Amino acid sequence: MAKRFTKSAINWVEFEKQVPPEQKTKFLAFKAKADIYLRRVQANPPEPPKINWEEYQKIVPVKGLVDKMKTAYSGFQVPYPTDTLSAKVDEQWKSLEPKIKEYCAEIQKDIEVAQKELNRIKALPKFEDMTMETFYDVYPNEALDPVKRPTFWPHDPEEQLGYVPPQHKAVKK
Amino acid sequence: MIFSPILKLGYLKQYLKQPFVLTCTKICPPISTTKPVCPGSSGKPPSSTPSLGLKRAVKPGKVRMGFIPDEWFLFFYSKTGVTGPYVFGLVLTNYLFSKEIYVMEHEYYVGLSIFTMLYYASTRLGPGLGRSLDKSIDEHVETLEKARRDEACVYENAIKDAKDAQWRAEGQKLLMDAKKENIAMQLEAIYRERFMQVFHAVKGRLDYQVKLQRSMNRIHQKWMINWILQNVKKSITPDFEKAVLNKAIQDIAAISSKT
Repeated sequence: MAKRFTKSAINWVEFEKQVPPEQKTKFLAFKAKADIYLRRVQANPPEPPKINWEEYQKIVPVKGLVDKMKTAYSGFQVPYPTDTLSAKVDEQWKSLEPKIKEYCAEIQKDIEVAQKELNRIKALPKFEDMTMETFYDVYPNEALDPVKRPTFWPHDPEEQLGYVPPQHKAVKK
Repeated sequence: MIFSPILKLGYLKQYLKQPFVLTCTKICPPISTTKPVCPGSSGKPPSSTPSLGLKRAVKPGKVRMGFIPDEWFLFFYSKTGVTGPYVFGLVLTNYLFSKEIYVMEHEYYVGLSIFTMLYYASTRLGPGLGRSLDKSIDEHVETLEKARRDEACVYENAIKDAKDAQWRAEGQKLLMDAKKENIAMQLEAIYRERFMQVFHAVKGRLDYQVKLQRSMNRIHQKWMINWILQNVKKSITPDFEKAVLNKAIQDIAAISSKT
């Protein structure tokens, strides 16, 4: 006989946290079923209650009935039902586990890419520590570049050639 | 020029390599805050970012009396001690004024007044102005840094969500365990129902026998009592009844005479 079920070994609270939000309803249905089974289990005691043979010996006058019952009862083994479905669950797990590993590996790749970018950003020098020249080295497109992209003082968009104020642009369009 | 003797000395020329400005913001002090530092100097690989070389200096070079670089005093220190440079300065100015090499003309007196005003302005108003300028610069830097921090935050959130997804995917193992447990629960429930069934069957039969026995006894008793009572009633003859009644009257008389 396989190990008998005495108590739920699953931490339902932790499990609930791990369920992704879009599958919450399915999880709740599953949990409801599990609760029904649990209630069914708990409807009966784990061991059969004892029969008081002595008392019956005294009262029942039919000779031998009590003895016969006693021997038959103690000799009788209630069969534990056979487990056919656990194997199917194991199969499901076998097919599921590699998929999980694959998914995790893909996600890990994404994590690594993001981590690399994060490290790159963290390694940039603080703006306070940079001079105008080093700023040009780190951000060549945003720094003032008098050689390749000369701009008129005060180096803001309004003073440059070909500037069109936003309202005019809207009117033109 | 006047300072060619210093230039000719040769050593410590490095300090005079910079363009010669009185407000020395560019001369590195001996213990330098402008050491060449790799960006992110705590050992991160510098391959992706260009090497910065010098960091921006926090304070300008040290000066005495507002405009004379400290290095000139140190240059004198080994030969003439602490008072050397001051004495040299005094003697030099005395020479310049007395020999009229530096002529004290109108511009000089205008310069004195302007110098006084500038001195008071810079000592009284200077720090306040400096603070407000610093504040505006800090705000500007803060916006830049914030943009960078937000970018980093985006990546951090992406990493966090990805890790979360991994954790949830792994939670499916719990689902398998729960399924197995459900199966076990159902089996256990069926087992318990079975032995309860057996128990009830046996107990039912025994109880039936007990109840049967008891009801038979009860019926026997009832009939027996009825039969006994009938017989007793039959056996009461009229003589017997008269004798009993007389005895009873006598007893009552005896008792009433006593009380």
